[in-house]
This record gives sequence, C-alpha cells and structure tokens, in this order.
Amino acid sequence: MSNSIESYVPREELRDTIIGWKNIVEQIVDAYRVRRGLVHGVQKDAIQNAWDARVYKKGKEWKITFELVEQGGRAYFVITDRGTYGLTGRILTKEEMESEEKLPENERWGRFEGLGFLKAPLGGTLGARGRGKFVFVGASKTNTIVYDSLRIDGSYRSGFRYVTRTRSPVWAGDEKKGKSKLIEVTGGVFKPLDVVGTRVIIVDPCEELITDVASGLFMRYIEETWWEIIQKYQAKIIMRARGRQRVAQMPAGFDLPEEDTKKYRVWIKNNKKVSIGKTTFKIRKLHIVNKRSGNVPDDIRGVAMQRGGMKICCIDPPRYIPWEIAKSIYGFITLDQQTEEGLLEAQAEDVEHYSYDFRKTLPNAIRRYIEDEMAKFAKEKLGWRVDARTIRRQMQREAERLALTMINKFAREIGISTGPGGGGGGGGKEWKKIRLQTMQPEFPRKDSLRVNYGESLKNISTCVINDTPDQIVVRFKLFIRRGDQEIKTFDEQDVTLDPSSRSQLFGPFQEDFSQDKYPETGKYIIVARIRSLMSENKGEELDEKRLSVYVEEDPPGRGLFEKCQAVEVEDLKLYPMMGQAILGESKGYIFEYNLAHPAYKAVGEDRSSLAEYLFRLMGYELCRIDLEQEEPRLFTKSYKEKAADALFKMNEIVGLLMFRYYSESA
Amino acid sequence: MAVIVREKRILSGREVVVKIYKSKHLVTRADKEQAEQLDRFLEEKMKEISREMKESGLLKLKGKKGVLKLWYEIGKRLSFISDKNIVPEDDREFIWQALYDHAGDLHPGKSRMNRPKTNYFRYCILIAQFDWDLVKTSDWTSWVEFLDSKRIREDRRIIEWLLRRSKEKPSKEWVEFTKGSRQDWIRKLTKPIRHRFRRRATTELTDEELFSELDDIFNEIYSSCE
Repeated sequence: MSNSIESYVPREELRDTIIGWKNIVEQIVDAYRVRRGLVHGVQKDAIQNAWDARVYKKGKEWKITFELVEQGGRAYFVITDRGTYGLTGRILTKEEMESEEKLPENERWGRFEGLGFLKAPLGGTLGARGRGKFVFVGASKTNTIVYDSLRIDGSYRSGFRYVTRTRSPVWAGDEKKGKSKLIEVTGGVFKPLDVVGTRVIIVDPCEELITDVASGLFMRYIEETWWEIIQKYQAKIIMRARGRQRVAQMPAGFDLPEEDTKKYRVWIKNNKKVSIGKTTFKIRKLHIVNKRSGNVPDDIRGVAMQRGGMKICCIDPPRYIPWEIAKSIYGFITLDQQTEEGLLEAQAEDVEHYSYDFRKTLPNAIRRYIEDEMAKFAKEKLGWRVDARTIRRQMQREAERLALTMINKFAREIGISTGPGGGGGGGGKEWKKIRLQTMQPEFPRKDSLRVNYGESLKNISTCVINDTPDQIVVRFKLFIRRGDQEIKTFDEQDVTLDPSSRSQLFGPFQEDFSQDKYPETGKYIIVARIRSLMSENKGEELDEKRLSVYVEEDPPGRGLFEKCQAVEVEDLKLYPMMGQAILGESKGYIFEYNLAHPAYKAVGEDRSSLAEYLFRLMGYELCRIDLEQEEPRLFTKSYKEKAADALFKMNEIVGLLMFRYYSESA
Repeated sequence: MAVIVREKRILSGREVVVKIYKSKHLVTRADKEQAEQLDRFLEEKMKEISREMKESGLLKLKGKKGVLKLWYEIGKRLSFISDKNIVPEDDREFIWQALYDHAGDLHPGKSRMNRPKTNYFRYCILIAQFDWDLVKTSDWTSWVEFLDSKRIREDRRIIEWLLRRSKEKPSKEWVEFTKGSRQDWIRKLTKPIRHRFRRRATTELTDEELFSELDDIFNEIYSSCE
C-alpha cells in the first residue's frame, strides 16, 4: 500500500464529507452556554480577538465598541475595534490552508475565515482555534455575520459568512468591490470602515443578546471578565444601545484595596516563587479581599485566575471555610509569563477559555496554592476560629471513606486490584436514534463527584436529538432523585422535534446544596429522561441519562475491597479476630470487623479512629490475600515456605501502609 | 445508623448465627447502640403482631386458602416502617431482612427476604393500603403476581382503576368476571397489563388514556372468556 489511500482512485471520484454545519454551530454555542452563556461568550471572544490584534502591547489607542443598531425593521449587533492591525493577510485558498495547521501570525484574515487553525506562535495571544466567530454566527438568528477591515497598510476588505444545514460559505472582496458589497448587503445601513481596525456585524442578533445588552448585563459581563486591562491599561470598551452609551469600568463590588480598611481586609502576595509538591511556578500577584459587610456578587466570588488580562475562571474558597466567610471573599491571581505559557503548552485551558483541567499538574498546583492562601487569610485575618467540632465532624466523614479509598489505591498500585468495576466492556454501543445529549455539569471540584453543603452544581443541561426521518413528540424531564424519591424537578416539558434535528438546550440549571434541602448525605442521582408521547408507543422510555452526585461524602472507591461491614460475634473463643476479608459480591472482598472485640470498643467512639483501625486491619488482610495468589506482588514465592520471614515482611508492609495513610491523609 | 440482620456462619467448625450491622457508613459505638435499640423494638413489635394474629385465629390461615386476610392485617400493623423517626430512610433497604429475622411464626419463607422492593412484608404493607372489600376479591398469590409488576407498583392509578371498576357501579361484566373464580380474575388481568406496559411508563398517560387502555385490556380478556 502506498503512503496515501487517495492514490488508489481518480481524484475526481473523491468527495468531501458532508458536514452538518448548523449542528457544529449549535455545538459550539452549547459549549459556551454551559459555561457562562452565549452572550457572555460573545463579549469574551470579541474583546479577546481585538485585544490579541492590538498594535501596542499596552493597548495605546486601542478601543472596542459594541453597538446595537436597530434600523429599517432590522437589528444588527456591531463590534468595532480600533488601534489594531485589522484583519491582515491574504484570502487564502483551500490548498494554502491545507499546507500547514498553524498559520503565521500575520494571516489574520485567513484564520478569521477558517475553523480550527492555530496561531503561531502559541504564546502571547488569548485565542486559539477560531471558534469565537461561530459564537457570533450562533448569536445571529439567521446565522449570518458581515465583517470588514481597514488594515494597517491602508487596504480595505469586506466579507460575510452564513451557515446553512450543510454549508458555511464565506465571501470576501477587496477595495471598491468589498466596499460596494458591504453597502449592498446591509441595505446601506453601514458604510465601509474609514479608520484602521475591524468590524463584525451580527445580523439579526438573537433575543437573549438584545435583552442582555438592553438590561446592562452585557456590560457587567465585560467588566467582570476584562477588569484587569481596564484597570492596568485603561482599555476603552464602549457599549451603545438605544440612545445610551456606557464605558466599561471596574466591576461594581470588585474593589481591590491594597491595605486593610474598615470595609475590607486584604491578603497580598507579590512576585513569589511557589513550590507545591514537585511543581514550581511563579506568581505575579495574588490579591484576596474580604468584604467585611458580607456578600459579594456570585460572578466575582472566589479568586479569579487571570491570563493575559482576561479572567479564565474562579477558584472557590476551600470547603472547610465556613460559608459566612467564604461568601465575602474575592480577588485574583496573575502568573508570570512562563507559567502562563506552561498552562497553554500543557493544553490545560479549555477551548472556550472558561476553565482549566485541574487534573493536570500545573493548574492543580496553582489551585491548591490559592486555596491554601485563602485558608491562611481566613485564619489569620478574618477570625476564622476553627471550630474543633465542625472540623472533627468533617474529618470523620472524610475518614470513613479514606480507609477504603486508600487501601484500594495501594492494592491497585501494586497490581492486585481485582474487584468490582473491572472489565468494563460496553464498546460498540450504538447511539440511539432518539437520544439525550447531556453536558458534563460543573462540580465544585474537577476531579470529584462530591458536593458539600454551601456548594453548587452548575451547568446542569441537556438537549434532545432526533436522528429519525420523522417528526417526534417526547416528554422531557430533568430531575434529581435519591433512591426512588424525586427531590426536585429542574424542567419538564413536551417537545416536538422535526426530522434530523435537535432541541434547544434545556438549562443550564444550577443546584445549590444546603442542609435544609438535602438533609441526607450520600448519593443522589440527576436524571434526564425522554418518553414518547406518540400514539404508537406513548410512555415508552426512549432514553435516560444519569449522573451521580455525592452530598457531603466522597464517591465509593472501586477496588479490591468492596466495602467494610460490621459483624458481632460475642463469643471470642469462636471468633477471636478483629476482622477478616471474606469474598464479596462482585469479585472483590468485604472486610468484616467484629464489634464484640475489645479492640473495636477502644476505637469505636469516632469514625476517624475507626477508619484508621480498619485500614490497619485491611493492610494485614491485603498481605494474606497477596500471599495466597499464585504470583504474589508484595511477597516473593519463596515466602510461601518461610512463615517467619513472611510474617516479618508483613509487618514491614503494614508499617509502610500506615506511613502512607498518615502522610497522604494529612 | 445501622440495622441488625442475622446470618449463619461457620466459625471454628461450628455453625453460628452472627449479627451483621448493615449500614452505609462505618458503625460507631453510638450507631451500634441505636441499631440495638431498633432491633429490640422490631423484636417486640413482631412478637406483638404474632400474638395478635394468634389470638384472632388468623395465624392458622398461614399456608392455607384464606391466608390473604392474615397478610392484610400484618400489613396494617407494619405501617410504622414508613415512619422516618423509627426507620431512617438510609436504612430502609435493610429493614426488611430484619423483619424476617424477627418474624417467628409469621415468617413468610426465605425466598424474597433479601429483596428490598419485592419482599412479602412490603407487599403486605402495600395491599393494606386498599380497602379489604377490593383486596378480598382475589387471593394472596395473585396479588403477589400483580405487585411484582414494576409498572403496577409505580402507578397507583392502576390499583385505583381496579377499585373503581369493582366499587363504582361495577358493570354486569365485571361482576361476572370477578365472582366465583377468585384468583383467576386478577391473574388474568396482570399478565396483559404487564405485557402492554412492559416498555412504556404509564405515568406519561393521562387518566383518560390509561383507564381507556386498561378498559381495553379488560374487554379483550372478558370477551375471550365468553
């Protein structure tokens, strides 16, 4: 076989894949919706593009204007920047675009017309893959945008894009041709740009955009996202709508005093090298503020992680800090350039620029540092007297899961993790023709399904997809249950869908977990369900998606030990043991501990001591289980014949396990 | 908290009954004490019910034709299970096995004792929610078969339909259908109801739609019986 499969057939017989462009736009828009919403995405991407294209690093002469134009029975949302290079570069052919993935910095027009083309070099700019313009397309009811640019070399070009079901055509024209086309397609509402910069016109903007612009919410989004460039560089961001003009300022409630005052307490760290575990990074500034008088708005609560002048996401105060304090903490962290580049190189930032993947080492270390500093601040300056009982209760709940989690983790590491949950399978499962597409909700912690009291689960959302050639009618329901009991319904409605289409996004919803609403800790399930309302199969369950949420406890760990179970055998002559592993229900073991044993009685007062006790006992049983294997992992085969040596080795292993228990649970 | 259940184990070569403290959490001494208190309460309660059943003569019906009345009366007396102050919700799934442990003369057989949703004591409680006049028109075996259907357990309207058909001016056909043949009528209905709603949630149907479909089922069976 030659290198390329296309050499086997005449070139003219090859066809391009038909792309469902409308769906792609929907998907991109949905990705923004589940974060902060489509409208938030419009401002974030618009300013990001313009800021990236600024001529002067510190934003001299830079300006961006948003304007709602309502004229001739039609609405337009216009984004115009100044002090930028304009959309420089050539109109690239498909072949040129194909030649390399990373387009040169200067080929701004080419990138604006394409999708998925990276900038080169990577660092120093905010955007990445050119998804932003599709947010503009998605914000247009007719999926249409018109744009023009007067470039820094004095040349002019205009263009437009619209999206149909299977096409996303673009048009571009230079100078006279471009100018007359702009006037023509906008019915004379707009004249060609006469100042260097770029203008994007969203034709027929959607209602939510118009509403948020009119209500001032759009401006709040801008201020909350771009406060850093507003403060540092006096960046000019202007909003004009319905005869009113506003210039973006520092967001209300986001005062950043440098010293303690009557109203505020502050915690500042400047230019610091930080080491967390093996990871080292450098911060420019960590600035945390506590508003003494109480609540701060939700959108600024926590510490904003900034990159290149833009807010990416917020780190919430750690869960141990009482809500009374946590609710009034806000601030930001800026990182040195190398650390920012490190985050980009690690591809830790999501493509919409709203979050980091905190499973990755660097963002995880930064988050831990911020959380630690917030806790120090609360203790040292905010009078957080750590209530021993609260912490104790919290620790007990943690400890309860800890014993199982850690012993299973250890067993897994050494390769004896035959327990429940192994195998998996499930490959080759076909998508249902009528199905739900659920978005992954945002948990308080990226790597855990746990939610504590006072915390929220955000962006609970889903949509219905109809891949059949028929119109369908279904009843959609999104709710949370515990066991069989429904706790809350987020949404329930009847949905009619055309052939090969998808519904609107249901949500995003946010659920705040409080002790009042969720008095029982443990597992809850969020269920999205569609049932047929069509006469031929009314009531048939067409699809169901479930997601577990663990309130005030960690999800059960999977592994060698399925669970711990208490037994009581009072006659210690019959059962002198403190505990033992017996075969479980799902290929693993159940560790049974004897409540009649005096050793239990000594530790049974609280869950933390009990957890440690059980961990130790499971450590011994882990050794026994390993020694019984044909190919032991902790022991060598020779130990099977030498009992004394094996016992000594067992002691050593349990010692090692206990060391890890105390060091890792600290 | 925790619920105590009893299981047989071979220890030191001897078969002994051990107490297992079923719980979703580690069992502290405080949990242990509460579990023991609950255990004593259940023991007393089951003894009391057993005594009542013996005195009323109903216990003699066990294993005999009219046993339905016994289970119905037991169900009425077990309604305390749904009281959260007595049995916390987290522990409810374990309580059934504990009831079996203390059942004594009332023990309905081991076959379903580990099934939290379909054990006999739960069914006793379920049928005790209906008027005896309706319940008595069939027998225990048929009721069990009826309640084994998830759809029927989950949609109270199916039982209500039964009630309505039997109480509100029962049609001539209905009277004919139910009289005499006891267990037969409910058994004849159970199967087609289960079959028709095997993949469909009846909860999505309006009252009118559901009752109309149930009437259809009834008419089909009735005409096939003629």
